[in-house]
Amino acid sequence: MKIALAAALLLAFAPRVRAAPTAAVQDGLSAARGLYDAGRYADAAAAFTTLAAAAPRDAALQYDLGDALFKAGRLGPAIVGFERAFELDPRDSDVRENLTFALSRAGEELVPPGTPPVLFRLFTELSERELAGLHWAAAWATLLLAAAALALPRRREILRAWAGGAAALWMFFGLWWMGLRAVLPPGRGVVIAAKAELRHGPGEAFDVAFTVPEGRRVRVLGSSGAWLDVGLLKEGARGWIEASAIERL
Amino acid sequence: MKKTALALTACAFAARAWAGVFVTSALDRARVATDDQLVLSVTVTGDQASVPEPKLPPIEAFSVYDSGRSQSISIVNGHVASSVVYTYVLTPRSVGRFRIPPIGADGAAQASAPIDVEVVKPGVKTAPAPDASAAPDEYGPPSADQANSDSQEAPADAQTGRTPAAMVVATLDKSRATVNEQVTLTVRFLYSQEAQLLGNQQYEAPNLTGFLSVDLPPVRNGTTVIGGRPYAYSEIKTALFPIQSGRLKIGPASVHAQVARPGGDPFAAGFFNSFFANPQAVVLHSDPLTLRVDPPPPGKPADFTGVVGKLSARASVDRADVKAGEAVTLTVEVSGSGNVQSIPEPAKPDVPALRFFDTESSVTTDKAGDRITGRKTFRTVVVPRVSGDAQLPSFRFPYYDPQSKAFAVAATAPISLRVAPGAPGAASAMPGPTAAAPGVTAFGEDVRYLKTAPEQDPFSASLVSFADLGPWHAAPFAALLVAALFDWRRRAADADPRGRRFRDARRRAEERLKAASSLSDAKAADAAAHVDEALAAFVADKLDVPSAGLTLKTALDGLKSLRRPPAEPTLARLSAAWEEADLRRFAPGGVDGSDARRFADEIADLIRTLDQEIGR
Repeated sequence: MKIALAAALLLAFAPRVRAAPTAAVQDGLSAARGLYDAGRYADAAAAFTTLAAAAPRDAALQYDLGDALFKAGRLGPAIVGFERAFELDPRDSDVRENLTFALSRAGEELVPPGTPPVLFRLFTELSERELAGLHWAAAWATLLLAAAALALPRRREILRAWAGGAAALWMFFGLWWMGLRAVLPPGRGVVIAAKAELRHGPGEAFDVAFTVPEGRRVRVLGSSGAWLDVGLLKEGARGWIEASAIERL
Repeated sequence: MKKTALALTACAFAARAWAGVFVTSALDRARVATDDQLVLSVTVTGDQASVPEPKLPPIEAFSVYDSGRSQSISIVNGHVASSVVYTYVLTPRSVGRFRIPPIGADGAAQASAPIDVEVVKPGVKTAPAPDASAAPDEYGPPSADQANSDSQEAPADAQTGRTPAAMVVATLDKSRATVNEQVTLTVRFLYSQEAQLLGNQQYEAPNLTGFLSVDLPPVRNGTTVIGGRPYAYSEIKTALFPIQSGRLKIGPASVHAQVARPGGDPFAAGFFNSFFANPQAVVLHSDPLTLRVDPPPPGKPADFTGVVGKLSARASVDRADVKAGEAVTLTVEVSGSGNVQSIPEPAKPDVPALRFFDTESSVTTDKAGDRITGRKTFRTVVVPRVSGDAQLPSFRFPYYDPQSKAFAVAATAPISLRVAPGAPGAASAMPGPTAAAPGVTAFGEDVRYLKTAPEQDPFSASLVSFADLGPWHAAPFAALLVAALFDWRRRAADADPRGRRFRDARRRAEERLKAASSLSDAKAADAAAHVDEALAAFVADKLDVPSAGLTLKTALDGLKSLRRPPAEPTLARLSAAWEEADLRRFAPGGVDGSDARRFADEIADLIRTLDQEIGR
């Protein structure tokens, strides 16, 4: 039984462990960087897009893609790349810096208004997935220690103390994880059109309520056909925009 | 008698065919040190009364200051010709060879030719300005002919002893000055009634190479008496700022006039003789002047830029309370006497918390009392990068005061800014990678470079992989559930000893039988005892009675009274086995080991049958 469980865990982990870059990937990276260094930013962005599509969990590739898009003058998609890199690796100072810089070009800033930068820094020190991993690790530890305490009456006291500590960590990481998901909720998107129009309803028959500059972050609240109901995180405004003008994170 | 029509004659262009607008440019020298300055003269000529202004392109490595203009209009045989000379002072900013680009003007047939110039380090010998080389500075007392006194103003005629009927006299208000200090040149055209001037006169300004000149209008007219002879005069004043040290020559100022030449008709009356007199062109010159120009004395401040006069400075902002990312207009005003136009833009301070944009300047001048005073205003947009208190430091404008003969500094007071957190998107709360740090000049902002060596955090990757286990996260919950069930059962068993004895009867019997089977053949008697006890103990456990003293009859009665009694054949097997076990235990003779094990297996089978029929 124990052997079967261990084997199952290994099987579950094995496909998710990132393998070392293959020679083909290395060649692709070198080519993309060469294009970037040559000032062919649009071509470099296309190359990085291909690489990032094959490895969507690679923060460095998302960062490089954001760089190339930014230099190519595509602010909105660049912010998407930097945002994804930030979600994957928030401790990377380059990622944080470039996202801050790109957001400032779009009239936004990384740190929410009124939030002390130090607190935001601490709060976003771990990625959402890392927090989820810590949350689940603490949960596993808590439950297995509790099960052991039930199964082993002679060591029940010590196991119960360890289980209590693990439960405290479980709660701590769980609250942190929930908080981060509240700050960076799913359903976010970035305006990638140069000057997108937000209308009062899902269609061109509705009047334009306001325009949104490229790079502005939005929250997708709903959809109707090819139109998305979005809210602007900064202004608190809401309107309908063509789905093609938004790239979801 | 307002007959003086003043104009400068552009001799160099007199012979030109006035067919359009022409632009020429010239430098006073081709090599200059970084602590010196050049004079660029741009002349625009045309066959019209008004010529366009030159379009000065950006000049690499030089700060350019407008130093005024002078214009001459001449009418020759009804043909109008105009010439305007624009003067600029160029202050070098860096060492090297540079080129003054072609300078054009609207409607100009072609731009001026480019001029090459070399900028060298201070102390390297440079050629002096062409017209200033004639009189090297000896730093001696001024001679009488260099001083400008009324003795020059009334040169007596050698033969008659009388002063001439018309003359031009040039004077300076001082004979010795410091570089960049104002000197006032006065040119007076004096004429008596006997001069019999005809038509208008043309004034030709003296050669002022080595000076920046600023006209001091208006033309003043008056009368005076010199040597007992009454004169009327017209007077032109010009403010001069010497731009180099040494003995600088001021050429003769000239007036072109026409006077009446007495006619040859002996019958003509005096009036008509005069009326029909033949005009005669005459040119009157003033004596050249020499000005001794001293350099500023030693001990100048490190940031001294050559300004001579007396200055005061003040700085202000349009608001002291501002949010990060919002613009504040910083205004620095420098006012006083001297050539305020030459005051350079103050250096932008190194304050990382503030971003300084390009500075715009404007100049207003006042010529009251023939002294050049004015105010130069610098306006800069300042944007705080971060919230908190920020301070605009003092701006310094060193100058040399020729009156007190000492260097002084006009400095502004520091200004405090209270910067509140900015609106979202206005500015980054964190200093960017290109934020100006002390000693570092930021030229632009951009994203950071690509990831050349991406770092992989195995712990992070493991955490992310663990988070993505999905349904496997139910495993610890299941484990806990199993453990809880196990614990519940154990607790329940502990709470019911009779039931536990009933359920465990078979296990304990089998343990005894196993022990019996493991004994050697030599211990067949012990094995028989174990088998007998196993059977009796099993029945006793099921009946919850002591095994000691349990008889077969009691056992059968008890088993029959159970809720699920065994079948009759099973009870018959029990009776036979019980008796055989007693027999083997208490009369063991002739029983070998293999037979004992076979019997133990039979008992084990019987116990299993009984247990199944009775139930657990």
